[in-house]
Amino acid sequence: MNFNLIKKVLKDYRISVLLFSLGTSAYSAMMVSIFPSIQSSASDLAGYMDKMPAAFKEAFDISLGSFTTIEGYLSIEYFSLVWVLILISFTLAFTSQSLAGEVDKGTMETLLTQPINRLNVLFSKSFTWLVNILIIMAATFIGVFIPAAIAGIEVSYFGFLIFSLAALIFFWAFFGLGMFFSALFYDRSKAIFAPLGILFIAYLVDLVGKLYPDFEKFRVLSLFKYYGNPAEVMQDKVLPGMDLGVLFGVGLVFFIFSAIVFKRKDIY
Amino acid sequence: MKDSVVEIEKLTKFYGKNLGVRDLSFSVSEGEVFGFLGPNGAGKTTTIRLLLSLLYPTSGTAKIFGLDSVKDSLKIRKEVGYLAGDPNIYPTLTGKAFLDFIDSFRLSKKSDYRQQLIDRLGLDIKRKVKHYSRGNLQKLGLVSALMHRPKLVILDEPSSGLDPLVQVEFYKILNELKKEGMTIFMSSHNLTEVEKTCDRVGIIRQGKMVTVESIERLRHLSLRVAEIFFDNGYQKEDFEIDSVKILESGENYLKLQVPSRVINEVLASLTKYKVHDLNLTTPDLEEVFLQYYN
Ligand SMILES: Nc1ncnc2c1ncn2[C@@H]1O[C@H](COP(=O)(O)OP(=O)(O)OP(=O)(O)O)[C@@H](O)[C@H]1O
Ligand SMILES: [Mg+2]
Repeated sequence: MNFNLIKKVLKDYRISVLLFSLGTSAYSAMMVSIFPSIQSSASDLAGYMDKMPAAFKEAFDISLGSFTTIEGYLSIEYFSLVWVLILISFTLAFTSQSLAGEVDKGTMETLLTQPINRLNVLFSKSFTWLVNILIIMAATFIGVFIPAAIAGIEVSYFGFLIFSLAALIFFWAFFGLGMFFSALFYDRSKAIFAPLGILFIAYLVDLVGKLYPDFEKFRVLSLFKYYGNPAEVMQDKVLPGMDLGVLFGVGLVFFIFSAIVFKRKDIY
Repeated sequence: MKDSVVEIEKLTKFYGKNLGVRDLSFSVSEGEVFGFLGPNGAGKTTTIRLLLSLLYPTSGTAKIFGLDSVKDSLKIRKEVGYLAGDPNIYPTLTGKAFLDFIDSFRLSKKSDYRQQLIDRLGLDIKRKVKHYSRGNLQKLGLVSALMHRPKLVILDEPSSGLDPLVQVEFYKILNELKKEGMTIFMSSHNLTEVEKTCDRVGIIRQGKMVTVESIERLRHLSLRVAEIFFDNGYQKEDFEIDSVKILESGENYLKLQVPSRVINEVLASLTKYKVHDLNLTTPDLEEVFLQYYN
């Protein structure tokens, strides 16, 4: 890894990381601060929920716990989808810029004619992504912990830690995919829309599989299935090893592909 | 014979079905300034990108410092300065930040040469690259290529965008570096520049090398125009020498196109006559180059 390149890329992203951190933590804080009022009206919600179709409830992981526990509530309102989309957006913006974007703009030529090898460029940028995503995740959780402490809501730090690992591995899978397409394509928009398309389809397949039993068998093809239910991870405090193994593997395989493709790529 | 710094052998590059260069072979020796010429789309930039391992050859090899351009690319790049034909520099950095960034990749031999170059080319490095004019971007690229005084510099159309005053300064810099023993490989469309700075030129057309010659030999190989004024007439037959062309003739006047290798024969024929005046001109090198272009 090249320290100077890491330093430069960190600097390039410092504003984005700041904005993503502020955004996600503000969202966390807002959700936590309205939690007490949601919780107190849970009995009304229970009646409302009774009328929902079971498959629907299952598909969206809605249970009474979704509104009576902070984990369940944050999971359904934030960590299941909205937050994931925000962090994956950051990830794909990062990956698409890292290789395809720089090739597209021509700055890759400038970089690669310096004494640094291509794998080093890939690893240094990947490391920078890891640092950035960890900062944003940390900001999100601080946005939960501080308002929760103030409002006297009890949260399990350890539960969050376990969940953050699971989430990181999920993001890693998309990072790998993003890097692969970024190595493959010469223009940035393709490098962003290809993995975004996969994300969208994965979500749809997972949702349809949960709603319709006939399609349940296709869920194994969806990366979202392996992400699972954040509330369960936080409350059970155990990592769903098999599922995360799949996600880690997907990330790793595509990351290795990206290295192979980028190393052999003609830069012009 | 000095060692070859660049040695290209049967280098071929296809972009898919499009030909970049084909069967290119030539070498550049140490301390030489080599000009790489040819019409647009001839393959100059392609060759340069192959040397720097930005492109992978379809077949053939290129060696720099005796090292393989693909396998030993990293080692090579430590000793090579490069200026792209269309320098793309991180727009959000200032000129200074960019040069520092480039510096950071080398165990910088701290020197004030960088500052000297900046001053001599008249570059303002406090501004952001995105606000640079084309010429200033070119200067920044030049400084980044030359500031470490690498063993070899590869310049793709180095003077494009530079104003005439800066060009003159740039040629001075090149000549100084050449005296220090730097090997310079540059592509160019500016024939006067090539004439001023290069020892040898390679002319490439449609991906193939047409000729590699020293500037002197090119001049030498070229055709002379001889204008002869006689006092008492002459016999035309005396000048019907193989490969000499009679351009104009009058009673006491003759204009010939003469390859320099047969100039002696023309002179021999002249001894028979009383010559009033003789004018022998070398055509512009420019014309010589253009002969090879089409
Ligand atoms: N990325 C590419 N994809 C397909 N063909 C390419 C690509 N880059 C160059 N070529 C082709 O390769 C040939 C050589 O191009 P190159 O850029 O090396 O020419 P050049 O001599 O540098 O021209 P110029 O004087 O215009 O800079 C051209 O026919 C060009 O069309
Ligand atoms: Mg070119």
